[in-house]
Amino acid sequence: MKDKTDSKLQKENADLRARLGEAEETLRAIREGEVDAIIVSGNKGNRVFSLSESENLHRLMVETMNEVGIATTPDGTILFCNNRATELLAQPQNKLLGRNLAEFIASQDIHHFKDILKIALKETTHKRILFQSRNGNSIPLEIWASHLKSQGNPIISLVATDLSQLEAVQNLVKQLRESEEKFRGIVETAREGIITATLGGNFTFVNQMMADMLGYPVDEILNKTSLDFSFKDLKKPVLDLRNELKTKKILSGEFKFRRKDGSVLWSSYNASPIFDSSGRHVANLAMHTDITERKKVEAKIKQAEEDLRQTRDYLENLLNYANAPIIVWDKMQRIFRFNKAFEHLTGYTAHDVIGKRLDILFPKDNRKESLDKIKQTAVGDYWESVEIPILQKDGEVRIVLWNSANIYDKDGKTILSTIAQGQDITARKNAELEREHFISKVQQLSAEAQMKANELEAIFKSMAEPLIIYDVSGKAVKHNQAMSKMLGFDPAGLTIRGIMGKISLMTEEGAPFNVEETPEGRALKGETVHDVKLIFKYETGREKIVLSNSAPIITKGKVTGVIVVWHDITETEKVKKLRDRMLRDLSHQLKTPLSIIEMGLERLSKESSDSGGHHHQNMDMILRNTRQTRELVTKILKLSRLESGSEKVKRARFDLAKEMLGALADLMHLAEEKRLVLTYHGPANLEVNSDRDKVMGSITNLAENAIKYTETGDIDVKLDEFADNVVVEVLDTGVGLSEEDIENVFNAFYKVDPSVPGAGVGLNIVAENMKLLGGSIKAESQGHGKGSVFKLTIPKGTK
Amino acid sequence: MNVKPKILVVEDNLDIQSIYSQILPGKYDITQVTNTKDAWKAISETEYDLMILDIILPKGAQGDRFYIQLSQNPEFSQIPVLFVTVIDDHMEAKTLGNINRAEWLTKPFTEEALLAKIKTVLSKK
Repeated sequence: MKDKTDSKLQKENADLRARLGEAEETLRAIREGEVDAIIVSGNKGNRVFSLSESENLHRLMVETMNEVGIATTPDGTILFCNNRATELLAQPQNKLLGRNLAEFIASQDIHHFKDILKIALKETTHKRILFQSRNGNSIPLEIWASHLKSQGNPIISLVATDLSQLEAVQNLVKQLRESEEKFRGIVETAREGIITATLGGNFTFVNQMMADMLGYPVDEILNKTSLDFSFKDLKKPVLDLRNELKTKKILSGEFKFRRKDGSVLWSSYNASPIFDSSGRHVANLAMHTDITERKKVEAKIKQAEEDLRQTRDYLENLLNYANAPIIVWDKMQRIFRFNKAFEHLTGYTAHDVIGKRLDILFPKDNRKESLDKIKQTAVGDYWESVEIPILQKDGEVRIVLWNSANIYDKDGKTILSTIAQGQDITARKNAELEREHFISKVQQLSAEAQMKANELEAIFKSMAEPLIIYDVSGKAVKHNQAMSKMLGFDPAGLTIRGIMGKISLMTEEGAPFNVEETPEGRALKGETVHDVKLIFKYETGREKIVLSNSAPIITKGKVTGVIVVWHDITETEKVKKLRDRMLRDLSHQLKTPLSIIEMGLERLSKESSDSGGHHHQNMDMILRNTRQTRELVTKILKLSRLESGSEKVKRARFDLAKEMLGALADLMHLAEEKRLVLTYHGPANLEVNSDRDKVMGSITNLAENAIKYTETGDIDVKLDEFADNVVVEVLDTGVGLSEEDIENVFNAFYKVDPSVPGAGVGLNIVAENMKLLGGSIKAESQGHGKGSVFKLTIPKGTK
Repeated sequence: MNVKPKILVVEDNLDIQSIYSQILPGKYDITQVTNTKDAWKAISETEYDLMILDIILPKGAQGDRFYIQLSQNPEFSQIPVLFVTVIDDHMEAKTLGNINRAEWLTKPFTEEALLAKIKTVLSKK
């Protein structure tokens, strides 16, 4: 641009000079009379004025002249001025004529004007004189002054060329030159690197800055190409750029140079083609700005941005997928972050709650309290693990432990939002409550237990019965005084085996015990053992009879110990034994003489059977009563044994059916005597595990009764089995039983028919037997004379 | 052979002994003792075909215990025994000793019952 302006101005300057020259020549020619005619080009076309023709033609020429034309007297009084002069001096012609031209000249140049007037009288002269127009403009004029040879007073002809334009151009050129120099200075001292290069790329000019940037002296760079200062083979891109410059005015981009020291120089460039005056592309210009630092900063910024993005992603993920519920709310307490864990905690989706107020997350009852806590966060406090209940979508309440932190604005004072992270401690809380409840329960229980234990302890101590507790290993852990007194030593810490080793313990039958078979040992295996009779023998030979009761102590379904209580029955047993012996002795001592009497009478009765008369009748009477007495004695003794409890059940397996058949066969002759039909209905074999004598005694008794109380008809004895029992029924067609009979028939000495011989204790014995065997007896009858049914139900005992 | 079978009666009650004396001598050759000591002596001297044994004997001597001793002695274990006793409880008597092998008769007995039992025992021999 600058060159253009420059050349245009130069051209204008040259034009002006040419015109000035023309004007001078014209004036000279006119003045010298060398000109015959003047062709004046104007808007009326070319007109030819002949100087010889008239003064008017002269005047016309001067009038139309482009130059200022003025004629003055030698003192400067204006005699004539043309249009151009009136324009320049900004006065109409009539106001100018007669006035001194010096009035229109700048004061400092007036003496120059006077000089040229003087000189002009002798010779033509010219001078640059500064005119002062009426409107105040200063106009530089080159005035040519010459003496017009006229008939009268000397007239000075002044022709002036306006120098304002010329001087302006000259000024401009001058300024331009100055600016060119400045420009060069700028180029040389520019902060930008400047290179010019041939179309082939060889550097023709490199400024100092560029050289500094590359780290080479200028000389070393000239004639080289960009490729000599680049890292990779950039031939193609560089060639492309050069090609582009053929068609483009300007190119911008970045280029990576290799500095002399091998380091990188990043440049941002603008490149443009240079054309010569004929418009040919002759060279290229490139201006480089060092952006290495900027690049570094950019890279750092990029890295920082990447780091920030990653951090943000990380935080985002952390927030969204953290196990802990996380929530963020703004200072208006509106939720704006709500992570997955929070969704899980509450049942709300983030979509449900974002933008809503925090209130919705709290159960009504705690809402105010919770909001108060949150308000504290708004004044800058942070919570340190506060429990805040959270309301789930479905209405359930979770107890959540919260930590929060405020997020501040750049000023570090204004709270923008609050982030809170929770931990659902409902389960822990419940567990705590449960534990507290449990502990208080346990405390209560243990207090109760302590009381019970105290009670037990008191009972334990004061118990007259020997008592001992063993742990699961069979070691004695507790016992009372009665026990150590009975044992004759302190059993604490001894094992069952150890204790058994120190004492002599036998079964009722006098056999020694295996430790495993003792009630203690059995209880250790989980069995509860009742009333096992033990013989406890002292070294002195003294015996104690003990009923041992033992039970396992079961804790959580496992045997953890055994408690054993001994019941000393030595005295009772003594009494019982004594009574048993007395009963047996009595039995022997009563029965023996009665038997002898009976046998003697029988023999007598036989011998006297032929003698006839009252003798035999009386013998029979005595014999019959003796027999009854003997039977009564037998039964009473038996009953008393049963009732005293000294009668024992002696179980054994036997074939009940077979035994019954045998017993009935024995009774057959009694039935036949009365012409009764005695029939057995039942299986041929049926095994039971019971006390044979008691079972058979009972059945025989019933059958004998049936025979006794029946005069005509049948006696049916039935045997059947029902589940775990056998049922024996004795049916007769005899006297039958009244309701009163049925009520009392099993009482001792009750007789349905007093006329029938017998003591009336038989059914009583049967009932006692059934009691001992765990069975039962039942009597049925349709009434007097309608026969009766006696039914025994006896456990088979075979299981 | 007209030799009568030999029966040893161990019975402390003399009244009962007299009843045996009235019933048995016609058919059997009987020896009566009142205690087990004499019984031992008798069986050591004479070979008996049958022993009638009371259970409740004086001075604590028990017929059943005597029977067990007898059974355990190979020399006498083959002597048939008939218990005759006032004890009418079969099982009770049994618990007093292992007398399963022995026959049993409860006092009071009739002549017929005694003779029938003796006949049974001797026929088993």
